[in-house]
Amino acid sequence: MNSLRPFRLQQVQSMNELSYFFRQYPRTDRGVFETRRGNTRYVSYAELIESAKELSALWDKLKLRDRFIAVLWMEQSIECMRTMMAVVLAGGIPVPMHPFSSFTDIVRIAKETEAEMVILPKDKYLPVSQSAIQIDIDHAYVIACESGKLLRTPLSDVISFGLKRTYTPPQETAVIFMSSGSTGTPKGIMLSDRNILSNVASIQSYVDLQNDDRVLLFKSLGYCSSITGEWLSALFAGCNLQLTESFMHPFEMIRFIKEHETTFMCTVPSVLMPLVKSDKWDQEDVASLRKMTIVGGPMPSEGLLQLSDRMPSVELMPSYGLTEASPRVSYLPGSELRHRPDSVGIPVKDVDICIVQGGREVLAGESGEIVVRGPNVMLGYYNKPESTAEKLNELGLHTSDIGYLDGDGYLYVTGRKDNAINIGGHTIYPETTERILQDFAGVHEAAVTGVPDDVWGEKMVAFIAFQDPSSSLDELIRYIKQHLQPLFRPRAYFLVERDGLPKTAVGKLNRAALRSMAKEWGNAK
Amino acid sequence: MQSNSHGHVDEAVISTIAQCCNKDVSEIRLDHSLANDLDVDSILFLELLFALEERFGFQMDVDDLHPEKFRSVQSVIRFVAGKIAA
Repeated sequence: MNSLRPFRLQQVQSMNELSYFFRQYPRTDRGVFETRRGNTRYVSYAELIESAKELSALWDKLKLRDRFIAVLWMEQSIECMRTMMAVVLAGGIPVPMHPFSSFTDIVRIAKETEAEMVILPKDKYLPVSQSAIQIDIDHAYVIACESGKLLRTPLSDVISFGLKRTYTPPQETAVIFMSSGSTGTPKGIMLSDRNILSNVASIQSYVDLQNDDRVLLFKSLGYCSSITGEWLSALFAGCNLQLTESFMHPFEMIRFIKEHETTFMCTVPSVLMPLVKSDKWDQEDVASLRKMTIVGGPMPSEGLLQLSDRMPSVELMPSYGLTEASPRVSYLPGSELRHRPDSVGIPVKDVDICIVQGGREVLAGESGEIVVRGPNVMLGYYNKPESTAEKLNELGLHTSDIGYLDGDGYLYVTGRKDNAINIGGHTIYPETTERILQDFAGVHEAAVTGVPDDVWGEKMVAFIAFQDPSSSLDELIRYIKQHLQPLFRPRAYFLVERDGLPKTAVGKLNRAALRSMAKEWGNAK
Repeated sequence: MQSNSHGHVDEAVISTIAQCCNKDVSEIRLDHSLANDLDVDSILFLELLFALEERFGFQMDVDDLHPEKFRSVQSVIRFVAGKIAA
């Protein structure tokens, strides 16, 4: 019953809509089950909102600016959910960061967004604060996410006169998500309350969660997709949420579903492909599961159909989206899976898709850039007007994904307009890795690209030209491990001569040629 | 004979781990932690499991995935020896 209650945008000026949304569903008989290292605890939605209110009240005395920015380290825990809710209730804009973010990542983003607040677990902050390292976040309150208590105050003139900002996000900004950018520096994607909540409603209209569903959430809460597609959707539908740490292996997921009787989940092809290849699990293990959305890149259709044969009672719904669209754009209804397994389906409710080539919409069957219109389209990138203008124009949100619509309006994604590599559902720009490779003393030139991979979609390979041939690749690899998260690390290295990288006529890296070279060299290996 | 076959498994597991981690066999010690000493990240971990399955001809079971079984090089050897003995 509760699941069908329509969400009404609230009228009160002083309260943001997301905050109202959190307060609107204080069920006492549904809530969050958090499982960590085998132990499960439960907090009802009503208790969660009450405790978030208490936390946000603690911050009243800090006299923060309306729409202050809070960078928060988000692991899949009740405490982190509560902290994010508290920021929203206090009128702030959360910037959720992945749990694998390092302290340095967090400080960098806090500086870039001129955050007034940084929320961290004590064990991330204390070792650094007690060392000689200078912590360059003098503009922000640092708060412990476990207790909500102050760990550090900003400089006194920031407290007295407020922070002099170089950029202030639009008033309607609700959440900022960080994503890797094509220049090698991250971009802050600004989403409004309306962006997020319209997408929750669009998602609910096709996944149709009921109040007896159990929604599994194991992906990082640093992704918009986890917040909109699982957390807020479960809250909206009035059903339980099962929160747990990321799985190291897909079998852990199978075991979790079996033990906790999950009914709904969302995952990426790289988690599902190993399951397709293994015969060590069967239908009974996933008997509770009703529906699964598959996001983050194309699942090979053969694998998709095999998976469907192996779990016939589960409705598999490949979906397409991007954070700039809050994120869901399209979904393939289960009934179409057999007919169009390569498609990512039709637009979600209230969203339009068109294909654009040379600045004009093209007809069905013709290929071009996928452009999205709807209430889910972002406000823009944080303090990057040029990048925003490149992505948003009168036609809509330019996704940089290439694809086409068939005669019935079903979408097919066939490639990328830019150099991004898709690794296990993550859009990764080669520049991020190249910048670090080039920083390593002894590297003359470096370039990375993707090669197709059955499980991951693509894998990153690197081409390195050393200044001095005696340089050590081992040392370079060690350096990469210190400076880059696993997803951004190359999985194979090829050494080339000093002028061995393919170039265009004007001397720029020829990425198309590099891709073919990677394929060839990879096959020869 | 028992110890002989174990010795063989030890070596083969270590060489698989070394290959996955881009290291020389001589750099791998039994008490090395996969995550802390050998920098096995989430992506490498899956690769390592695939490589072990292929090399030793077994398949992981749903109940095999307990973190303590994959903490150190020694524990991986014990796990693989158990799988092929089963």
